[in-house]
Amino acid sequence: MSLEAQYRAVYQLLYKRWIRDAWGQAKFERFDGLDDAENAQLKQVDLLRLDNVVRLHANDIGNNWYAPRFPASWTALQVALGCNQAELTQRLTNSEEFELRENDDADGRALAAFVRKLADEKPRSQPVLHRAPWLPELLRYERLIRGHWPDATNPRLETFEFDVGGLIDALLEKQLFPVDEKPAPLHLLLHRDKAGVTEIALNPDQARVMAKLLARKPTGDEPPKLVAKCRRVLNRLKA
Amino acid sequence: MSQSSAFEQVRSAPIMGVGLGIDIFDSQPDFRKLIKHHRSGFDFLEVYSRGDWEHTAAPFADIPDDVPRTYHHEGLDPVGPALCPDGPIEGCAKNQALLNPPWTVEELAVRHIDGRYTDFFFPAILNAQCVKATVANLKVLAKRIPGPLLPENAPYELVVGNMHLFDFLNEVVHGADCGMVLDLGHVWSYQLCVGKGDQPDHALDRLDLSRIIEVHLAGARVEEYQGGRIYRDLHGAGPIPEESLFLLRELLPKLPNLKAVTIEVEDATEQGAVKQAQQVRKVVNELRPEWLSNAKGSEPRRAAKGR
Repeated sequence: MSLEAQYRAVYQLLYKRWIRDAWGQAKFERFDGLDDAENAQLKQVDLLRLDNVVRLHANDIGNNWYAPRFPASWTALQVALGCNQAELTQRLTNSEEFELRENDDADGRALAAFVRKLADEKPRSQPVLHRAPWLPELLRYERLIRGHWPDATNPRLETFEFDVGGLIDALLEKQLFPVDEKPAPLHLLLHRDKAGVTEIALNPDQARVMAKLLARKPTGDEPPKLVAKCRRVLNRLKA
Repeated sequence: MSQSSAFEQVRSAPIMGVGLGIDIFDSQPDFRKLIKHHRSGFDFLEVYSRGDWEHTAAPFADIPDDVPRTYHHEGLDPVGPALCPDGPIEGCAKNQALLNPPWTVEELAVRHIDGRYTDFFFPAILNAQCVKATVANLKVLAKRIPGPLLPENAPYELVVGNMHLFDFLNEVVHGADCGMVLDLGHVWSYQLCVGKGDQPDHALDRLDLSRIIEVHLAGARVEEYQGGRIYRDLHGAGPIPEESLFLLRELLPKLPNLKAVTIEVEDATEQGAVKQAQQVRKVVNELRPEWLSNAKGSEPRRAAKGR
């Protein structure tokens, strides 16, 4: 007999669709840790009401957690998976990756793990995200510009496999879903301070020199004008 | 020397009157603007911090000493199987020390299950085990938090357990010897879950009304589905349901220890917040004018009206 087990069962019914469906279809009789009386109380839960509550909260999670923080990725995921927000949220909460979140997943770590897994899945010989192979990079960018960095390195040079700025423009401004997007490396210098994250796009030569400067490596073999320019950019950023 | 119980402490607290429940981190309504431009519209503020205690000192300092206040904490998870971690408890004590309210409000809900954050307050499981755990938690909290704690009935969208909500509340407040906050919208939310949505006051005579120290009202929306209705808290972003006002009219004459009526107005405009306060004040004034005139925070309002 455990109140803890009762709350855990409720958590599973709310967030784990496969458990909710199996319970509704009587595919298992008892939640772990519950005695007969506790299990009987759970059986009295109105399943139709439960489904509606879950749908409402799925939209709340989308509207309050993910859409405001990672708008382009959240929109693109719905198009790529061919589902609406409530369905997307339920797929996410149903996943093991959802359990990686810290509080309300403000830094998007659970969402990123979920997207990574989708990108790596290969059912029917095609990755689930075959229409949007750029999604993991888009989400990585949206997390970085919100200040969720993997370490304290600041400023930092990041290279994205796709033109994430163009993807965001297409998704949010033009409301278009980019198809047949080809990899086009984008180098960004990012700097984080109290006001937020500043980004500066660099060409491949600038990125190479900037990487050396940030790593305090010798730049004697680089064009002096380019080195000077990169130094100026860095100094301006830090100022 | 015997120490008075949490209930005795709140019973001897002053009448606060009709107040507004605000979130100190909201830009709308901005409590600073409410105080500056609409001070005559409320008797006190119920200050909600989202359970934060690390960023509260500055906004709390913006509340002038002459504005009476109560405090609404979050995150103590009093209905959970075990007491919450030390952080939220110490945070609550810290915020109390900064605000010096006559009491602190906390929902009878959990925000964490197995340490995992939920997207909403999951209300108490209504059974004897949860009563036992809640009473034990509230007793420990009473020892660790200096000011009295008032548990509040949480909103229900789904009921788990075999007890009636009012029996659960009675057993909790008697077991922990404390008062309580009755949120009228949340009462209706429960009735909607148990098929009594058309009788918001169903079985209300089971509840020990003498334990009610504060009443909450808030805007809400009701979602309909084939087979039922679900109450959704909107606070200031929606109208106060007629069912909540009906409950207020029913209950007001029957609450001997009532000290405060709070309208939770998070997300309302400043004008909208004051308008809801006026709506509720009108009802209170009709049914308990004497109670209202004795409110601690009513002096500035009277003075402003006099001017």
